[in-house]
Amino acid sequence: MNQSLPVIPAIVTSAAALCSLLVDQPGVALSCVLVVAAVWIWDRHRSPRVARAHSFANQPADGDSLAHEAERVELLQGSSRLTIRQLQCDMVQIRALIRDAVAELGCSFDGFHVDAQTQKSLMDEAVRTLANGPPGTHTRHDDDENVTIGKFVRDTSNVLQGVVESSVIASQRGMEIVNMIDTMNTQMTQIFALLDDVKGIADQTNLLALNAAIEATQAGEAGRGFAVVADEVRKLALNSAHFNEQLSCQAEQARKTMGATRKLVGDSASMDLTTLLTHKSSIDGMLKQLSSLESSLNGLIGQTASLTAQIAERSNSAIRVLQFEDIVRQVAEHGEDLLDRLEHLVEAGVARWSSRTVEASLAHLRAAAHALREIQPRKPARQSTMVEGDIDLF
Amino acid sequence: MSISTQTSADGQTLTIRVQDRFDFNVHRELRQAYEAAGKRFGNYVLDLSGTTYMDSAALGMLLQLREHAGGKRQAVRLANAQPVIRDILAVANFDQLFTIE
Repeated sequence: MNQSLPVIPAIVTSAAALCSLLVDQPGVALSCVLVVAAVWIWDRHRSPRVARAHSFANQPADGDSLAHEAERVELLQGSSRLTIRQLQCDMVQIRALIRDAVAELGCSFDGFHVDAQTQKSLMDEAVRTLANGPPGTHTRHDDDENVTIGKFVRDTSNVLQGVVESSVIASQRGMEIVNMIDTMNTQMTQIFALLDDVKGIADQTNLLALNAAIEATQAGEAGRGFAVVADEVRKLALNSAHFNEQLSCQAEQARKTMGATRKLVGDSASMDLTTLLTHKSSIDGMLKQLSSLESSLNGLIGQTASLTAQIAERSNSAIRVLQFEDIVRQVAEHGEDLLDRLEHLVEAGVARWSSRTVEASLAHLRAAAHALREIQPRKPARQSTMVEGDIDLF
Repeated sequence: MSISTQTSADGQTLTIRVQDRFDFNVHRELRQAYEAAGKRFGNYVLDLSGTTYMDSAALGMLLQLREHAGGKRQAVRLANAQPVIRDILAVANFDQLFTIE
């Protein structure tokens, strides 16, 4: 007979206790309230006769008990209403929070996506620049090839090779000049021999003139004219010897000049190649380093480009995952719908309690409880996971 | 004397040996060594086994010898060069002008 009596205080107590939890954990609270309400309704539905017997059949006999019952129901209604309103507020707030946060995140990831695309095109540009040289560096003479590290290395090697070759050719020319100077030197030696011959002739002429002068003296008056001629011839011989000496002197100077020239040309032809070798090997080393720098740069840029592609892919998945906002919104809407129905149920139940007949009140409650049960199993969201579906930019 | 010569048994090859430094100072001697013999040799061998130093003048002299021998790659053979000398010959690309062995 009094089976339903302990249920109501239990519900009230539970509802009151849950109130404190509701603010912090609306989801759990919602479930709890639903459970409480369901139990309350179910209890009344299960034993309507008992309840009626307790609440109304004895009404005239037990007025106090009825008054208590009404007070309890009103208490329950008050706290339920409060809780439901607070829950409704919370649900609205949650929806707003999630909507704003998702919008913000969407914006961030969109920017992220755009940045990643820009970075990828920059990386592609860098790879192209390394391979073909910077754009806009075409020269008039070299339309086909831009400046690249590889070309720079090749050109520098060629220039270096050219320097070595031209210095060797210069040395060869120098040695040819030295050969010619040597030939001239030989020819000068022959000139000296000839000059010596001329000197001998002058000396002999001088001696002959001297002898002629002596003979003229011995001839007395008759040889006087001959003595004058002999004297003139002797003077000529002395002059000739003097010129010969001057010629020899000049030729000797020329030979000295040629010797100096030979030394100078020889010096300029003699370049120490050990220094050149050292320079060339160090330049070769640098060029090799440049080459390996280029290839490692290529590798690094390639890696960065693939990383950038990965980043873009990840930002895409992040944006895709952000579509959970839609699911959450549908869940929340469903929750709010439930809360609305629950609120109506509570309001209607209590209102009818006081104004209508017991049967009408119970019938109404049953219908409402049935409607509540009907909507509960419905799936709130069409989509339960977030991996399916392609990217959808906000 | 840092230059010495040797004629092969068949009289076709003149071997010139350059001792120690191969530079401008041996120019006259070297020139005399191959010009004194005229152009009757088909092959010239430069024995560089005793050569320790070589400058650009020496390279110029080698080119002169090559012209003297007719300008063909096979006409002058550079033999037994030490690593340092071999490096110098490689830098000057002489392997394209001479037979290096």
